[in-house]
Amino acid sequence: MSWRDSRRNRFKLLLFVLSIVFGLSALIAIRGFRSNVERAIHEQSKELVGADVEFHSRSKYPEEVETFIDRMEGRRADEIRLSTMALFESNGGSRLVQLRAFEEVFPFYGTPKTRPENLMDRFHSGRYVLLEESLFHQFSVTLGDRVKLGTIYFEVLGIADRIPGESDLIGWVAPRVYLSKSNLEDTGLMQFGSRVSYRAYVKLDDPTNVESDLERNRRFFRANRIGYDTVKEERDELIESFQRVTDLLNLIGFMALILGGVGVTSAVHVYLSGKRETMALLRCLGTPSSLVVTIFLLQISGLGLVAALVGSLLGNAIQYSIPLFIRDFLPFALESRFSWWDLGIGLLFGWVVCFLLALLPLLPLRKISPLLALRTDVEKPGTMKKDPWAYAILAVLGLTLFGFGFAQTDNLKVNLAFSGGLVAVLAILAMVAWLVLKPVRKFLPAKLPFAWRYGIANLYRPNNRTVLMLVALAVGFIIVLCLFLTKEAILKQLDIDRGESASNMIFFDIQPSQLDGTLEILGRNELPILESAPIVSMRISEFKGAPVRSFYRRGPRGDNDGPQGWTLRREYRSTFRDHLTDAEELVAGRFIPQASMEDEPIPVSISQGLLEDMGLELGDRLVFDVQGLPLETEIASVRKVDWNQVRANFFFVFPEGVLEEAPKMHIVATRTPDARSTAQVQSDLIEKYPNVSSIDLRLIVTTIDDLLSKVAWVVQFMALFTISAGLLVMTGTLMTSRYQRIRESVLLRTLGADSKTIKRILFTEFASLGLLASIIGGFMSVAATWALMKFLIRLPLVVAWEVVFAGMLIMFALTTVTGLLNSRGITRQAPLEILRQQ
Amino acid sequence: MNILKVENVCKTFATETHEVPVLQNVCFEIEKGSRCSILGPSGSGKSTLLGLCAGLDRPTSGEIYLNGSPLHAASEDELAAIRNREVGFVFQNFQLIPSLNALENVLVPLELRGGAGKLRKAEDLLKRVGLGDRLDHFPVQLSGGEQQRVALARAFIHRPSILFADEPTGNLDSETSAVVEPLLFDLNREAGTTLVVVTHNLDLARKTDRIFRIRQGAVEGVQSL
Ligand SMILES: Nc1ncnc2c1ncn2[C@@H]1O[C@H](COP(=O)(O)OP(=O)(O)OP(=O)(O)O)[C@@H](O)[C@H]1O
Ligand SMILES: [Mg+2]
Repeated sequence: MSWRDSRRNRFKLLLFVLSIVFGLSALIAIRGFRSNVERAIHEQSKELVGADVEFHSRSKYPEEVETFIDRMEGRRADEIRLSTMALFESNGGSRLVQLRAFEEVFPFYGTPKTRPENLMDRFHSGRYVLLEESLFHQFSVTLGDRVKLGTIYFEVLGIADRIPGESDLIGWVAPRVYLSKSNLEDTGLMQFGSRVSYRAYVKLDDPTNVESDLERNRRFFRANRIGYDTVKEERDELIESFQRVTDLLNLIGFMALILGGVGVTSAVHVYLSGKRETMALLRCLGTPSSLVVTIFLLQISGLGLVAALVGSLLGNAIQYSIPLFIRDFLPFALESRFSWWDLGIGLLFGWVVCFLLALLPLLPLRKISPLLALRTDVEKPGTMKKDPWAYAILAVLGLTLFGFGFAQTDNLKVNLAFSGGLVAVLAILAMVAWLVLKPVRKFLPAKLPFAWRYGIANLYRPNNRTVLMLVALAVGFIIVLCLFLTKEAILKQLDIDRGESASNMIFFDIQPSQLDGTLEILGRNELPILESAPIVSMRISEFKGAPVRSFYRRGPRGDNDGPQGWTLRREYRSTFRDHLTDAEELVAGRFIPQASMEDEPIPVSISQGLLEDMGLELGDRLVFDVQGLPLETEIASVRKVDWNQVRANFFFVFPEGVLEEAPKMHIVATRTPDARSTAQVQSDLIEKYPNVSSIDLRLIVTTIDDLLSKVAWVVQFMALFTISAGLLVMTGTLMTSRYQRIRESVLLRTLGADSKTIKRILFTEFASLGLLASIIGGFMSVAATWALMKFLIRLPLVVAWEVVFAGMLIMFALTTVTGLLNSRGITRQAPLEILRQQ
Repeated sequence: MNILKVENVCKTFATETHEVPVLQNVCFEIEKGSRCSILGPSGSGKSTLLGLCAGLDRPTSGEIYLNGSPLHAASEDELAAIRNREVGFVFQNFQLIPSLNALENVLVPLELRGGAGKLRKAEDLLKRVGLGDRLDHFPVQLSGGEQQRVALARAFIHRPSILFADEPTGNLDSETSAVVEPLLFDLNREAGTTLVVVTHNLDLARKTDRIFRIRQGAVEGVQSL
């Protein structure tokens, strides 16, 4: 009956019920994306590995391993990977690449995706290579061009889009070059034996028990330094890493949903305030309260249905577009499939959430007596404090959210931590907002112009919900800014152009006999030698008197106080010299510059981080296996190494006089002024010493920048939903207080304020809201970035303040404009009319 | 000399369907320093008339001069300036600003003038109305009578030349009215302000110099006491 007169009001209500659409569609999109990814991984996991089991090793398999693999019932294919320089005839450029040389029988599952298609037969028939697409662009390669690897030339057959056996689509540091294994020997690259790894793929006749079979021999493989992957492991790993990514997106979607939910609740609240009289009247006329509530519920759930529909449609649309953006990161083909089931679930979920949210502000209306409702204090339609039903609804709401968002991951503990984290983040934010807000009023200088003081005082208006607005505004902002900052901080670590003395090119794998020639080539190109260090490869064979093999018997991660597994397994590339570099700082012990073989144990210097990871102390002893020769050492000093300086840093530094005779290689660093001279020195070197590799740090930075930008883009896209929801919450909240705002401005005008003053007051109010939000947002995002960098990425934080300030400015402007837009027309009302309405 | 001159004022409100004439050809004058009251049945247009005289709205036709300024021809901002300079207000429902405390509420008219630092004056005035110990209380922390006394202080703080009061005791019980009412007259006398008060209360009206009786939008009679 009486709803008919409230069309405009209902439209507004609809608008704000839609504030939930952002969160809803984000969650639905992520849910769909997740199931698409998981399905794709399940369907394609065999094609990803290309076999049932894959073994890998840094060195040739020992005899026992060879026999073990050969005894497995099935077929075997071998592959050798190595890093080397490739010279592109197309434009004379060269670059460090990763060679993958595999046998014709590989892959056992799936077909390599190439452009043009079906190249594999020809590929194995002659001296051909396939290249990763990026190389085509970088060196302007066309089909049929030649590439020099080692000493021989290969013809480029095509682009390799997806070849089984790798989980990254792109080789970030070294792009991939594929060739037939039969051609590898001719290149002459194997003779130096460095940076080579061996793989064996096995297709089993009966792969059912492969995991347990391998697990039983785990210690055997460990001791021989052989790693293995099965289809199942590979699949689980991939799914897990994707879940980690989507968990993050989910979290952001949830923030948007929670904010939107708050928006819905306040919109319904506003709507009901205007409807109180109708309700009271209905009740005066004898309608039972349950019926009255039911009538409103029907209305609101109708709106909820609209919101849910819009949300699921939008969510599905987004889900279809996600693969377009992240195709580059996926090692498998991802297709989005439409499913009525998913659409239905999304619809139901959205509707239930809307319904429950709308129920909250409706609750207190049950209790309102007809008389009370007819009284004029429209501002407070009852409270819901201490209503057990309110708690019940909140609980159901929580369970619904939890169930929907996390139903797909099966790890309950992780989910709980995640939900807890979500609540904690919002709580911390609310607390910070409150802490910032509190002292402002107290210390407001009395000398400020009236309009300013008044505008700021408005933030403290009863029922103004300033904290809520601040939180809502800051959340999305923090996510976006934090990502920006993290990206910038990582890039700043890699900033190679920061100083004249910083190197941007590193040459390695230089044989001792090639060192003088290399330095001479650099000199001819007028390039400085910023660093030149000998490198000796070694492994640890005894740790504090116990053979390293005995540590393999422990559990996968070992116990907490022992050395971390990787520290014992890895190969160390150590150097020797008689001084510390300026990137190093002595933190304990004494650096011994000279020693001789007779001085065993040899005093060595260790980096601080490794000391901690190994659980060592000064004076502890390690025995190194220096390519067959055991060498006892003692930790004599600890160095703090500034790892973010781009230069060769070492875990262990030996004194001079010990390792000189050991088989060694050299590393040389220089700084090239531009890309042209980089190309020149690279091609000069490759001409003379094809085995010497080089890394152009400029190129790597560009690649990483590219990757980070893409990742950040996806996350920020989701975060935009949170920002939009935040602005809508602000709008909804301002709508709640609009009536009060109008009344106050009229009152002020009655007392003689002109419209300019009123506008100034409004501006001050929103500007200070925006200022507070951007201060909180800026502060919290720096804090969040700090935490991220310290605990997750483990790099020092360099804050890009210009980004912070630009972000704060945008935030400030957005808030102020939103506020002012919401206050349009406030000064236009004739005073008397408002005063009449008391 | 006449501080307020109302000539042939008509006011019509347009609703969606038809026009409602509220005031028709109202004429009267009020002498500076005098006190008068407006009496009339509910809905007769008293509040509307008072609002027009105070420059809170503009007449549909006719002229209103307040202290010589033509209100009917002034812009919104000019009206605001005139109100701030000449006019004091007391409302039936107090109309204090909820986010400001008592002292700040009283200070508003002065601050809008740009005159800061009149704290002493506001404190004295609040003491005068008996609220010297409630300076930092917010409206919600005050009773109706106390709120109205704050409103009185606010109305007098900037020494207006004319004070309009629309049923100032309409929302108060008789005991509280017995405090607020004499206060209104006392303050008025001390400040020498012209007073126009709308009321249903004949006793209150009798305390003024003249009574205008309004019925259905027209002045029906003037009674000098
Ligand atoms: N903005 C408006 N729109 C339509 N009608 C209005 C408007 N303002 C006042 N009226 C009408 O004008 C008439 C006079 O209203 P007014 O408030 O001046 O009466 P009043 O004499 O003050 O009554 P009361 O003693 O009850 O306060 C009423 O009939 C009212 O309905
Ligand atoms: Mg009235």
